[in-house]
Amino acid sequence: MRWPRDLLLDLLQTCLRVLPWPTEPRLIRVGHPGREAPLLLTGNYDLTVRRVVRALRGQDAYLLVAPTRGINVWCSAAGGLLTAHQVISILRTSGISELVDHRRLILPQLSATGVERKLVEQRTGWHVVFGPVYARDLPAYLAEGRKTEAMRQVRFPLLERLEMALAWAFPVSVVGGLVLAIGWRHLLLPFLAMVWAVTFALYLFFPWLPGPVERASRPPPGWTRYLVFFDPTMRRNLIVWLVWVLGLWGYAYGSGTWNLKSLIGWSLASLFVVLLLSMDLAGSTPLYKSGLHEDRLLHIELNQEACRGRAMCWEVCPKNCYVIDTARHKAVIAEPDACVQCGACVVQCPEDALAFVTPAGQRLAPEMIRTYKLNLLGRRAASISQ
Amino acid sequence: MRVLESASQRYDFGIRLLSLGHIEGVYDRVAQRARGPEVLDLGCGTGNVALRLARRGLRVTGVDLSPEMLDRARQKTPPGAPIRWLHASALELIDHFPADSFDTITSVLLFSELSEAEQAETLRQCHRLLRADGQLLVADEVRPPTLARRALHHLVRLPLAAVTYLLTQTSTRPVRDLEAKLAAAHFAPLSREGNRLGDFILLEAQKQEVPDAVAA
Repeated sequence: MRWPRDLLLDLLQTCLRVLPWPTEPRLIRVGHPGREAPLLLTGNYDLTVRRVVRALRGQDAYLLVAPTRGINVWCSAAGGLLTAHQVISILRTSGISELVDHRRLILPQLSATGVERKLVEQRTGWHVVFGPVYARDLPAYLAEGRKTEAMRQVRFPLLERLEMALAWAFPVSVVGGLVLAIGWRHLLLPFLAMVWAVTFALYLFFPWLPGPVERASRPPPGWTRYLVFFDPTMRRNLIVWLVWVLGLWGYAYGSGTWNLKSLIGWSLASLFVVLLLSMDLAGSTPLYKSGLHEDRLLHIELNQEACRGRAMCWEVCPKNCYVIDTARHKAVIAEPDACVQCGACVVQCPEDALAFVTPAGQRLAPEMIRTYKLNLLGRRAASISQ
Repeated sequence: MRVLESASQRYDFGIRLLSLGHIEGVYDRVAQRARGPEVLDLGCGTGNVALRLARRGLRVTGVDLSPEMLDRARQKTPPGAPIRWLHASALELIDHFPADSFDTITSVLLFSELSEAEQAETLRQCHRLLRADGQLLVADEVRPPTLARRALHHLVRLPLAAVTYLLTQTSTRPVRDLEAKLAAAHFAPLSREGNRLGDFILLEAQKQEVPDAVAA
């Protein structure tokens, strides 16, 4: 009986998904793979590995688990921990070359931010293609042999929003709960109720709360730019807080049992929790650029002359920003505002026709993104430009 | 995962903290023992061993997988030092160097970052790159040999590791059976230094020719 154990592990790892969950990098046989069986790859984040294996139930395939330090595919790719080097490593150590007759490796699309296709192909002789974003689309992808537009796009559906709510409510509860358990035990239950209510309200109602769905492309004006830590443009959080406080005060007024001091105390405590959630709201959703720091508000520039319409950008963009003008053999950035600045198109463009441009107009060479990925915090960007 | 992004700037500090300062002495001893003249420092990080080797006048190649670490190593390199830095993984050595390229290969705190399969493949490539009787110097965290020491190791290390991870996002995983792995990769042991707790060792080994039966 594996499922009770798997279910418990799923739950534990979802609750603590902000931590790395490494599993041994290895080759997994799904079903009874033969010498023509497809070869897939994922990172060694335990939760993902189990999900991919489940998604492949009924298929015969090989799955490589690359060493990404127990971090999920998109984060490790953007953070420089899932690159061509980790792919080369698992290709060389798994012995897969002796087990299959073909040389076609299917990577998860979101790894395109980190894995330089060309480098893997030069070093190993394996041909690299980028499969669908989600593991659940793998059976359809393997059957059809190609991706649909839906398979290429990142979404934020209800189930994922609930997962992220759990992933935040749980650690905040544990840390806050431990502090309260020392000397304020009577506050423990109301604190937990507040944390879970606020967190789940934020993620559950996320699409319907007013606030920008796409990230602004300019930093906030004046002194407010120094609030970037708490993402002030994320009005959603403050609205959830406001509704919560109104409810709280309404309840207190109705029941007539609360005093002013504890009402103010709880209002401030919930504001603190909301601000805590705001700190990484952009990082917890696939909809935004990863920060509001001025040097990170980049946009993509397409050099029309260099472009030959080979459509790698269209293939790897998780927001379907690109369309290909097949008559002219050129890519077109049709949805520039949808860009989440993942850099996959820049990394993969065979002609170096795409590049990030800073708000100051400086072009960042594609080679720099390939080497440093998106580790472009102020200091890096400054030292490169000098 | 914003925390990952600036981790390399704090790596030196993290490792110093995790080793309670002992790491500097390890760098010194590894650099002292290397024979040269041609040395490869594998997993060179910010160049702590490689720079000491160069100060001794040896010709050094520092290899690391992290471009940020290499940037810091370059910043620390005095002009004219006989060092070149290479961005590659320990599993891509054969792509960059022909067989018999080095007299000594040093590696501090690298194997604890590699998976079991990667450790074996790295040792295989090291064997190929070393000249006849070439020297391998490996210093790393290992699993203590007895249960009592393992318990003590965890007692000391857990709080330290937690603090270090929180401050610097730096962590390591002790290697199992490092000496047996060197032997399996055809390296003959020359010397072995360990700390009292038995959770850190410095191994010196020599390349042995692979018996014909195995090579075939």
